[in-house]
Amino acid sequence: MSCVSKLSRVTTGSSHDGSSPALLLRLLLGCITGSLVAFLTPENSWAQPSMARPSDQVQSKMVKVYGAGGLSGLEAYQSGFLVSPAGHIATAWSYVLDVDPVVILHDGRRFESKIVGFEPALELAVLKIEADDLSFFPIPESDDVSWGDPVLAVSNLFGIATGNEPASVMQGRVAAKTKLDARRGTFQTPYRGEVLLLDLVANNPGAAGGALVDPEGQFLGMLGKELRDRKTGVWLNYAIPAGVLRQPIGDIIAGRKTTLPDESNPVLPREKSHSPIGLGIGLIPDVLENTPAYIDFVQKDSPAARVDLRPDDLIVLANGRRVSHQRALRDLLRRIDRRDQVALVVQRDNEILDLVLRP
Amino acid sequence: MIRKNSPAHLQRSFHVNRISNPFEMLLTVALLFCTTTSVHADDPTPARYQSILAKAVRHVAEDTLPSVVTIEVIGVMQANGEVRQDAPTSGVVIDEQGHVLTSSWVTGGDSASIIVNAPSGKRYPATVVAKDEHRDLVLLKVSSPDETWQPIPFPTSDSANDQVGETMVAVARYGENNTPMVSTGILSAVGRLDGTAIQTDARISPAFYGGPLVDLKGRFRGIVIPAVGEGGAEDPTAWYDSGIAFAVPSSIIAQKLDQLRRGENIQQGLLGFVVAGSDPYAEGTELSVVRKRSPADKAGLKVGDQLKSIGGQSVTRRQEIKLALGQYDAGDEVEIEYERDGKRMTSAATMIATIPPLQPQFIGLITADEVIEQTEEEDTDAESSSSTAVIVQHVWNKSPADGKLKVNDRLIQLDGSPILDSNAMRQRLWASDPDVPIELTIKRDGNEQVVSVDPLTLDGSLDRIAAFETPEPLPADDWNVETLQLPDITNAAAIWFPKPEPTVDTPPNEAPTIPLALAIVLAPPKDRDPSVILGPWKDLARQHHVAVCVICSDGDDQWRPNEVDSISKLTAASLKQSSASPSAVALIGGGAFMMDEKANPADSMALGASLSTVNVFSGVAISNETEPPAVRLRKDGPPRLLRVLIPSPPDSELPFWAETLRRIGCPLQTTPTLNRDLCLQWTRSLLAM
Repeated sequence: MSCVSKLSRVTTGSSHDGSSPALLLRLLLGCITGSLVAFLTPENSWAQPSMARPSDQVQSKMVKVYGAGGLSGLEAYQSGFLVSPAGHIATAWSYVLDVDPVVILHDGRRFESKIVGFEPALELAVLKIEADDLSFFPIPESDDVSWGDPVLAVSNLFGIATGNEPASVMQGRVAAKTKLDARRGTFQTPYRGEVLLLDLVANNPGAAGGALVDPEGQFLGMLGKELRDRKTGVWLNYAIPAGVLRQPIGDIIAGRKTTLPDESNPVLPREKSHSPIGLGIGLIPDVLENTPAYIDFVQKDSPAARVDLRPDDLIVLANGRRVSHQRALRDLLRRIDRRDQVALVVQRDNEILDLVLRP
Repeated sequence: MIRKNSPAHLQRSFHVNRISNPFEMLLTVALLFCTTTSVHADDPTPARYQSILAKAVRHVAEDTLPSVVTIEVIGVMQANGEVRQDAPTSGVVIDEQGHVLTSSWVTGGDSASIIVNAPSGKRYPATVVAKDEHRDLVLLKVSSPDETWQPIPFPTSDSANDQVGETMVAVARYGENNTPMVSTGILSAVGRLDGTAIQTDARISPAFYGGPLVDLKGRFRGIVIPAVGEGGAEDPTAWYDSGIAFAVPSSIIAQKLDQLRRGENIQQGLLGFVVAGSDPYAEGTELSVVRKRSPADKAGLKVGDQLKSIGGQSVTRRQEIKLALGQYDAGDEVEIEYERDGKRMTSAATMIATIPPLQPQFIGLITADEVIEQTEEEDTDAESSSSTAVIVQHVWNKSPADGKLKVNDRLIQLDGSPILDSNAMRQRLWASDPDVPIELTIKRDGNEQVVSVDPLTLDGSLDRIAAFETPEPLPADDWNVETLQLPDITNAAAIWFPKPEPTVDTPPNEAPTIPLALAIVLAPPKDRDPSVILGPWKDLARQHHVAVCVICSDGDDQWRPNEVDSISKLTAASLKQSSASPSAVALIGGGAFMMDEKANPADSMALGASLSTVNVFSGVAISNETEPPAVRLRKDGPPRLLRVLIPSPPDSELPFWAETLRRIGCPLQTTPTLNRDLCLQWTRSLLAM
């Protein structure tokens, strides 16, 4: 907070320069509302368009996320923000979360986190750390933001901040409110809903999972991963709006949509439960500790073939639970009765597909 | 998506009042706030200021949007750049007849069709009416009897009021639904891109190209173009989203619109003179070349004139002349003030679009400059004036000058204007007309006389100047090999050159020593040892009195474009080491003398290096099978005094890039076959002009 008072002192000082047009504006407005005195108090140093207050307010809600990566130009870090006082953190779903990530709070405290849920279509993930009494962003219901509105983008772009160093704050405007039409590599992105395009270069490496806020510090959206505009081919700067994020984040926090491994259902005997091969799915050889559940082949006339599963599809969720590797898939299927259907979420290229396999 | 918080009638009154000051406008917007219920007068925060500003931005954008269209190009080939060639960009409606002004992006590739997506959401095919090639603008016409077009109003105030720091809003439409899109910044600079553009820090992504830049009063201030600064990048879109973007000011557009509407293309205006000196930032505006029949010639400008001002803008350096001329188009009349013999004179020149390419001429002289200190009687004169005398050192055997000029002749005038020095004389011969005798005023044995020489066009078969004579091997010649090593340069290089002779005063009546020429040989990437490569050159070098330096590529797989710098530095070091004449340096590609090899990377590198440096090399010898390198050719600057030697075996066609070289004024010299011996003979001929 010392930062704020220093800044407001500076701004007050300079605003005594009589020629300042902003002061003029302040005076004029003061006359209009007839409460001149109120405006001249330091804490209301609104005549200078300082973004000091919101910039400082948001810092305690931002976190740094460290996970997998670090090879061949893939950064092993990204940004995130708290969405509950109990340590729920929203961030972008990416390869960084291929391992359970480490989260560092604004004050430098360091936590092992668990991925409690994610929404593949939005590339949103929610992490949980064991802490409480944290300050957090309430996610507003509607997107009360228009093109042209001023915004602050808060993130740990390029991993510039470490430990208790604050996140970077950048200012700009909402350039347009439009549908996302983007690609990653040559594939179109799964999410094609509403986004806020920004007139600042916000989506840099490490910025994914950062927060977009208004000048009052209210949450507006989450900075997405680096994407290229499909039509022009250039890098996009965008955020997924709060209104789109609210429901899935709420569902995950409330446990309605958890993707944590479910230990409550008992492991069934092999002949009574599902298995990949029982569904007609041949997986790639399981040679690593965390071999992803990529499909190698699909048996003819199997439940998998009937929903048109294809080689190279990646199984992401099974009955809403996260499939982080092949062992997890086998374990999940062992807990489902062979006579019941299995809901799979798979990623094909950059598309997310919901499929229900019926025995 | 457009929020309108203010009542409609108030908005209208806002339009009518045409408020003249942005703060008044903010105030007005604030007043609008006070009259609506959404005001929290007791909660004035920075956020409120931002919110008012945002409303102002939206307001000016909404005013502008009815004149903003999206332009799509259909069926265009993808180029190498990051931005897709068919990226949708924006355009500005400039009249009710459906004329749309946009950036040159839409004509950047041959397209099957250009489609204008009107603010109404309807798509119409458009035709190109005219191009402003000087400012990267294109005027389109949309034929649509039923569409109502709302033209953008041109502001009445002139560009002199441009204030760096003013808020600027770039306006465009985005995506399938023509969603409004804005980007804000400030006016960063004026008079950029040689006086043709203003600069803003608004983040400009390709969708904004061709769209309007407006200020907070809603005035149309310019059209955004894809452009980079000179020497910035190959790709004009390379600086998208980088905080530096350019727009053609509306004040200039207003002047050019009628011409474009008439279907007349606009090109940059040229005058056809060259300013002396190699450093564009050094003081001095003396003309060293005036092209015959060029606008400069017609305006009466002569070699030796000192330019004082152009279009009322005073100039003291070559760079300033370039800036002052940059804003003019072909057809524009420009007033030029100059000084001749101490008198100020003024004349007007009408600029033209193209100056015909040079057809460099050769007369066969090797000259030396002799600086004479003018020791005058009045010692009080602080300015010790000196003048340069150009003296004939050698006359090339069977050249046009052979038999007409003699060693130790002093060259005083060329076609009636004084010869400043050898370099200026070289430039003027380079710019001379073919088949027109050159009148040289000379001083021989104290008498002035005029000699007429019929020059020879350099372009063409080499055997016309092949009467090379072998210099007498000097007895003191002691040649040796030395490795060249420079800090930060990892290319291996070795030079074969004669040990400098002990300085003996040459008796005045003896013929002066002809300087050494220098051949820089670029080795193919697979060859790594420069000393070994030097082997077969040694005897020939000694015989023709040409020092030879071999440079190997840094990597063993290729020559990289950025190795141009290493080549220039090693060339400078070779010149220093060998004391060769800087005006006779040849760059020889490794494939030039090995006729069996095709597309040698060393040849591409040699051509690239000789074209992207300014008069470091006076000749380049390469194979006729050379793959042309990607080089951005500089528009400005002194003529490129570069002779290109290629083998042209009987019944073979000239390479396709030969025409490009001729167009930029490089004479192409051909020989049926090329070998080391001929390469060095030719290198030596570079000494003569």
